[in-house]
Amino acid sequence: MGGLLALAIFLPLVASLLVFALRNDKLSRFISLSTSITVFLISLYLLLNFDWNNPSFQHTLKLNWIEPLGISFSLGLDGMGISLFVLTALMFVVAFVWSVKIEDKPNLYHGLFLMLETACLGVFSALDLFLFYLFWEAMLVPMYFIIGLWGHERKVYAANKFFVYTFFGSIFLLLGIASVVVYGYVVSGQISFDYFFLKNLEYAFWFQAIVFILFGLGFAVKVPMWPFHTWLPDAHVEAPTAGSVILAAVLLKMGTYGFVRYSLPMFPEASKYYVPLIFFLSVVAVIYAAMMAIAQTHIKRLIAYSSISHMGLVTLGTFASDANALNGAIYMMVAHGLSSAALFMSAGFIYDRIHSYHMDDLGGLARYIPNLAVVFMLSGLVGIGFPGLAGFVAEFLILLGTYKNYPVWAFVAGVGMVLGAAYFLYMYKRVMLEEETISDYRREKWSRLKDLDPHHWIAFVLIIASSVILGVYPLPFVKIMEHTTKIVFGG
Amino acid sequence: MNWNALLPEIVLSLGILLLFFLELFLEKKYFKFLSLLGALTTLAAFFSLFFVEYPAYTFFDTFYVSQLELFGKGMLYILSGLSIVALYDYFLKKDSVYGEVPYLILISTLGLSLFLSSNSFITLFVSLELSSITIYILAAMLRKDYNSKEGAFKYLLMGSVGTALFGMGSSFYYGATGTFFLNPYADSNTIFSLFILFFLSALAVKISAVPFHFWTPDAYEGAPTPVVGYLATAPKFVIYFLLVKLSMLFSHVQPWLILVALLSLLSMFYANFTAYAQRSVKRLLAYSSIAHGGYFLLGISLSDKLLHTGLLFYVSVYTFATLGSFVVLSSLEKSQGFTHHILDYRGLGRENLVLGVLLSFFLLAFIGIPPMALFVGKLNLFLGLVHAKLVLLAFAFVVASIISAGYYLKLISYIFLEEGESKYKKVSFSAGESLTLLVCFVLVILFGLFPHLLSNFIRL
Repeated sequence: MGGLLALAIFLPLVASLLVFALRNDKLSRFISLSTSITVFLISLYLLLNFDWNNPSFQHTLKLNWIEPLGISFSLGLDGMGISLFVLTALMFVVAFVWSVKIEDKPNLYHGLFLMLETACLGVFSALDLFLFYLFWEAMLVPMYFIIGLWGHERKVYAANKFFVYTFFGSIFLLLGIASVVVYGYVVSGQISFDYFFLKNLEYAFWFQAIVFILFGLGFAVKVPMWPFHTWLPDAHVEAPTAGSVILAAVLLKMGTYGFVRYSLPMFPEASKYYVPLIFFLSVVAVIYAAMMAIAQTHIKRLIAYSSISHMGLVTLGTFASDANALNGAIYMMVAHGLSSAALFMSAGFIYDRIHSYHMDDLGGLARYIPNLAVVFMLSGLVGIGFPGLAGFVAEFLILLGTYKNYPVWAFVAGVGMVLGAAYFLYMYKRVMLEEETISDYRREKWSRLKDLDPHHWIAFVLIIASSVILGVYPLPFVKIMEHTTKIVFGG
Repeated sequence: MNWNALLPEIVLSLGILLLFFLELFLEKKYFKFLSLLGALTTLAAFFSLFFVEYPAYTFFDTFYVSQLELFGKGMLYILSGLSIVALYDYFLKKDSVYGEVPYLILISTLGLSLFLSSNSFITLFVSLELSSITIYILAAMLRKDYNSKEGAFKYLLMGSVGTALFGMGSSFYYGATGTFFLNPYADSNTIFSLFILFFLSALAVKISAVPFHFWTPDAYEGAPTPVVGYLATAPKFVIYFLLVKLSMLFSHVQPWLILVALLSLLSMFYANFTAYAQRSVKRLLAYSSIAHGGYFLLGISLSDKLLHTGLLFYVSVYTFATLGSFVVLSSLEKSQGFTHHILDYRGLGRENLVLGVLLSFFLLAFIGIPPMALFVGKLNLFLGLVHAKLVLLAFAFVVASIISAGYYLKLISYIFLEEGESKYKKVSFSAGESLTLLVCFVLVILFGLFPHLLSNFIRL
């Protein structure tokens, strides 16, 4: 199984080299689509063959790599790992389906996305800190070029900002990794980057307190937590639609994934010690970002702020030191991946048809493109936690778990969720409804609009079906999350 | 006399003599042949390393070889071979052929090779001057070009100051210890501290650490670009070996840590900020190399084995990335009117895809993005710094590398992202340039993914 996992990770990389080598537009579309579907099928196969009663990492693979530095090529998945792995694989299928019609340098586009897929899948399955960091940073370069080459007006600015911000975080992460490894070296006389070796070391409290911050900076920029969030609205606004989908659905999850995989189990005392700080930042993110979202007139920027707000809930749940909250946080990662991807796709669709993201240029669209109006509504409802959809389960679990230990914080975060409903419905009203206020000229223009194409349908159906399944029958999926929760909390 | 220990130097000297005589008689059209012969000489010297028995002393114990020295020499010969093989097309296309260039580089290599093995301040001085003086000449090679002369003159002036400081430092060492040999020193007194002050300043000139860096941007800008590839890598690379040895012997003496930390912090921050103001890419890379000098100096702040191996690994892979980036620059300069102004790089990726990709690759390597080997170097240096409990210096390093990311990215975004057509047509590159670029590219990736292939040779 470990071999299959490695195959799923490196297949896209091989495919991307193939795409660059062949330089054929049609073939590159075919290769990328078929590769991503293969990877998705492999990931489903891995999911079905996962033994839920075995409380350890599965589908593991461990090969010697750089022996003098104690670095091995070590892969493996737990419940959170595999759920994000499947989510990633799904999102890349969606991204490739969405961009079948891309005209501008399709070779390079598909090649970069395939490289990105390898990096993202690798992050969620690496069990060696060196390997993890390799994938973590390798994701920067393709994303930089995706934003910078296929973006909108201020793409160069946004790409540079994205790169520098993320690099800012990850270089601290690198220093953190180095510190942990040296600590292990001093304690045991052996240099090793192995995850389990480093996890089982007993770190002194002062050391945890410092290194937690180093790791945390790396993850916080990626999440992004307030006040490191300012790169995100710019990156989303300028990125092409598929880029935004991957950015929101996969890349942001890396940060929270890092918190759950590394910070919580490796530095348990520091994780408790910093709870007030993290809760403060999370709640500020939930409320401040929601308020910012209400103030936007640019729909992509609004969705970007809503992402920050939702990711605030994830960090809240992660550090609430409660199994339910952590389950909810992981559930939220998946649910938010689905909802934000669908929202960005809706925004991208509107831009493709009308060439504007501004609410002032839109309005009254529901009558003319009703199918979009339906999927747009559904994706928004997933995001705001409507019962029966994925977001509800997640938010409920997070609030339930947080309320047990920190009722005040849970209350404040709950207020933020109400704001979530407010900004989404406000956006929906300005974009889809308010038909009476639009001019005749626009009415005439709208009447010529074409509704969803088949490839749009495929992409939307994949996402919305998943969120309905996750929302209506959450039990098996909560079991998946519990697999990780048990590893983190023991027992 | 143990001649076997001197084998690679003898091979080099023979090659130099051969080139020197051939150059007298051959016409200009044989320039390519001469360069290839020069590269072959370094190759022969490289292979002769395998026949050297080590550890060995010779020349009345002033000359010493061990595995570390052999590793340094091997790297040095590869570097100079790669830079010689890449240079002929540039001079031919510029129509200013100077047959001296290949053997001057070889003479400098000979000097540096002796420097690596020197065990006493006298031989260190002589061999370093042998190398420096040839490099001054090389920097001034484009005689008709004003900038080349100006850069070389600044280099000469600053270099002479360095030489004076070197001599001064050595004499204080003699005063304190009564010998010119490199020996451990347990005592601590004013004279010895003065030695450290002067001697570190002298080496700081050579590795262009702030505040002794003033020659660097001008020399880089003025000198013929393929030669810059050599002078930005080989001499600096070799000095770090001496610095590591000195650090193992003397770093416990009082002003060492403070001086090194000061030089390093000044270099990192001054150069990284100043680089943002540059409009010329050659100057930008010059400041980048000053900043890297600052990072490397962190590696000798204490005597720590992990730190030193990390440093030597970092320096080794850094030289390949630097050499590669300057070869890209020299290939680009072959188009008519190319000035290395940053605007000249606009749209480069569309017109010269291969060169654009390679330059961006090396720039990303400088930032420290995996899987490029410089990232492992950075990680190794972090490991060493944390191990030596120099966490504050590690923090400074982190902050400086964040600052540096911006100007590398600026250049990359000019190459690929900025709108606008390139003013320059596609340039063809010669077989030699392709070879050098390929080797640099492959090694930077290879040592990034399998660093032990290189670090196994670094035995302190």
